[in-house]
Amino acid sequence: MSSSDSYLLIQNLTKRFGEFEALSQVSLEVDQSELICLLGPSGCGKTTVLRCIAGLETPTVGTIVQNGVDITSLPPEDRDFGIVFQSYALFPNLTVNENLGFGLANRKLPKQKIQERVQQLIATVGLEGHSDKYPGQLSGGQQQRVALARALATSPGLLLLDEPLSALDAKVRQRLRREILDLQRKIGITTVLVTHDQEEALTMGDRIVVMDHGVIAQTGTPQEIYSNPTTPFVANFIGKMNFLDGIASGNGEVAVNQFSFDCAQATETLSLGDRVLLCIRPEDIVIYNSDFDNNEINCNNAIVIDTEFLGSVFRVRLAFEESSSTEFIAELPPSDMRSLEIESGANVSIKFPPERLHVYLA
Amino acid sequence: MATASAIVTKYSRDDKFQGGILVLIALVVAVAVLLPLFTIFLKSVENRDGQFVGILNYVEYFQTPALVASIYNTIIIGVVTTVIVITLAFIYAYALTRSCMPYKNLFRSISLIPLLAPSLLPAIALIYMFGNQGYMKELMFGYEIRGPIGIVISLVFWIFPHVVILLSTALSTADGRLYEVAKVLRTKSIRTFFKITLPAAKYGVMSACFVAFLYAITDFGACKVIGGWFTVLSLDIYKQVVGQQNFQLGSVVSVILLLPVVVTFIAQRQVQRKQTAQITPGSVPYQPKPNRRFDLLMLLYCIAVSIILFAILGTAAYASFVKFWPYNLSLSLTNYQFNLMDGGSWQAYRNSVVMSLYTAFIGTAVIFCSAYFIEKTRRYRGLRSSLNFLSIVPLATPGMVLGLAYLFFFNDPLNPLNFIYKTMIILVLANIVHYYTVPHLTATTALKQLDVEFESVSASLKVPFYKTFWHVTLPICIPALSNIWIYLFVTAITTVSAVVFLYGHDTNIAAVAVVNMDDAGDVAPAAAMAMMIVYTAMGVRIVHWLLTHFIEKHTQKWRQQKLTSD
Repeated sequence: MSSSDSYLLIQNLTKRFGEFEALSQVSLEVDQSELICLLGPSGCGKTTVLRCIAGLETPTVGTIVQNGVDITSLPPEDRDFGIVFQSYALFPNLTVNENLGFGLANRKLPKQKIQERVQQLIATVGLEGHSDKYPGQLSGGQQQRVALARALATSPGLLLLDEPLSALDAKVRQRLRREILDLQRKIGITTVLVTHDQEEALTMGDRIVVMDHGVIAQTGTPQEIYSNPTTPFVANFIGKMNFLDGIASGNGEVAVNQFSFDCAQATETLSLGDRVLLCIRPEDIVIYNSDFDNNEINCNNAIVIDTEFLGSVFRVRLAFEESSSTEFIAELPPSDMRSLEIESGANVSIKFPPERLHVYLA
Repeated sequence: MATASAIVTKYSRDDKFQGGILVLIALVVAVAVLLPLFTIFLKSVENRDGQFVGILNYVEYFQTPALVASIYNTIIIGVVTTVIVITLAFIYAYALTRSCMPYKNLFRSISLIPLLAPSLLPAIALIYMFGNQGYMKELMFGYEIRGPIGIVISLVFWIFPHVVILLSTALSTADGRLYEVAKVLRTKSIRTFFKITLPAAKYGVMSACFVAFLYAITDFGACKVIGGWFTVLSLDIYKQVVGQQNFQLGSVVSVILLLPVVVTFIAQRQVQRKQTAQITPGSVPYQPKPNRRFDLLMLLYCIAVSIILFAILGTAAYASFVKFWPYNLSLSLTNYQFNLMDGGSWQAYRNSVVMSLYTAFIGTAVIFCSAYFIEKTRRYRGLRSSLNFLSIVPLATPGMVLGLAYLFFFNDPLNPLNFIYKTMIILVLANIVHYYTVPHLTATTALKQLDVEFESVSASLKVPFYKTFWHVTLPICIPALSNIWIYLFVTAITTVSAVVFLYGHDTNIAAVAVVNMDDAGDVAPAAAMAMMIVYTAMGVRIVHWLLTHFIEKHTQKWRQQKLTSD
């Protein structure tokens, strides 16, 4: 992708508040009709990026180009975006109808055109029959939809969503994720969504931008980010990950305690004696009966410390040998648990598939 | 990294407009507050011919024992009044918030009655009760009511409602969980009071003490009427300026009065900040439980206090209708024929009403709008926070000092605004400035409760800020606007201190007329005029209450929450 055909282009965005650097050299390209998720823990700068795009914050350094126009120093009034805040910021004394028409009334459109557009918006977000209610009379999910419809009312080129679902119950949140996604696909609006919820980012984003301490840690599709986290932070923040302390023992191998693992497929280039973190996701660990042939690659004996039932999966805490401080977690379906007869204290064989291992310099 | 010059966002039309308004506000603040106050300091270091004399005026002041005594007198009055009023009001507020006695709302309303009267009124009433011809003068056991005793009682009456409001707020924010724990641990109720109730209300009580002290040391009306031989600082300002035309010494006394006021004011702000930090989100409101003996005791106390409040108000009312106290007690309206009195006229009453209406309407609009621009503008952070700071200056400026400052500043022939001196304009301006702070805080609190992103959403929808202000911000803040309006009306019609130096022949007002008629010995007509103020304030309050209910019923429908589930 070249910068010329991306809809939103952010280069070297840096924002300082006094001594504190909230953003440092953030660069990002968003394609037309793409939904991009800014994901990170609170205070990582994701909301600051969004507010810079909206013009609600002025970056210290950097450029923001939207649709070929440099908007870096434009006030929000002169930019082209719709926004949904975490609080929704619905006007409480105006009805749903009036909230949706608020931006349209200013465009000097005939009253009838405004009403047509408002009705269309109400139908789009499925709020038929609620148009004369006040926001206070709506449920959280309905308020969220009004906020979304209001942001789309003036047909902006860019939609900004700042933690749009975090104020809702888990169930409503799941449903609205789907709805927002469908709507976004249908109208094809370029969207930037800020969230701290990894599940939200994984299910909604065409691409995810993981941020940490004001810098971009990794950018990629949800699958890329999940299966190939480039830093321990990303590995830890998205999904669950086992971190084992190891030492590079040459030939692409890493020694954890006295056990050696083939990590030739992991990307990091290692030199002999490097301290590293050997990482594997719980669901990637394969467990066999203890009579399994241990000579296969990356196989080892292990002992089950305890198990935890989580409904659809079991979580199994394991160690290479009794009273070892090196513990790790595996997750496997109940059917495997039954067939392998895994219980506390059992001896098993485990395999760390080489293609599933990640190695980071410690 | 190449350090290019920092990015500056371009100014939108809204930004420019808002910037212009903020500069305008700053100019008005300079002309209406800063420059006049500055002239007070200037006058205090000049001689009669306007030449700089350094601290000579201050030396003269401190070499006059009669004047210096006032400093001591003022502090004593302040301390004694504070101790008495806080004690009385604390028990009253405790009854309102911590007992299950009946008619709490009624007693709450009764305690607020003194707010509707100028501080002149209790002083006049006390003279009828305990003066030489008073019907209860035996209770004085030979002491004089005119003097410190009368001043203190008048001030206690007049400050009582302010302190009850503050203390009931402090006592009603208690965390119910602490009391449940105390009960489970079988703590004695006396111990609970000293270990839980008092510490929790500590900052509220301290804050109320400072407020009571501030009101007591800056009052003019009560001291003027019932002070007798006893002098205090605010009275000295009046005597020096009006009596002796000694403006220099008047400004010296003003500066000296400002010292304890500013110190108390700063202490009060500090304490108040600590008080608000005490309420945690997890707190459970305290619910008092019925206790027959305690509730009865509290009820009797509130009845006793109410009787005293009504006795003072009733005496003034009765005296105003009596033909010739104490010799001819038949009732008539003679005392209300103000046009026949020295220093009073129905014109003065009409002026008062007009002035208070102007103050309320213009003040509400101006104060709310400037609070809006200070609170909701996106840019100009430095200017906005300095304006916000300046908005509390009036609260720390005694009315007498502000009035004198206006006299110096606007009476100066070189001032192009000289033409407003002694007109309705300066009276309204002085009142708005004098009572600026409380409405400003009310407006700011209301505005802070609005979602901070309303303005951002409007900008994204390309709606100019004034449309959002008109269609959203203003309608939501109607209750706050209504509170500000009535506060300004009642304070304007009852005040005397700020305007006593500023009225002219055609712009005499009722509260000043009370002072002047009392001065001329027409005490009964003075009582009648003071009662006219009370009737008016009460009437307007009732009409305001009815109107507010009507308006809120029709414009605040959206506040009714009716949740539908997802």
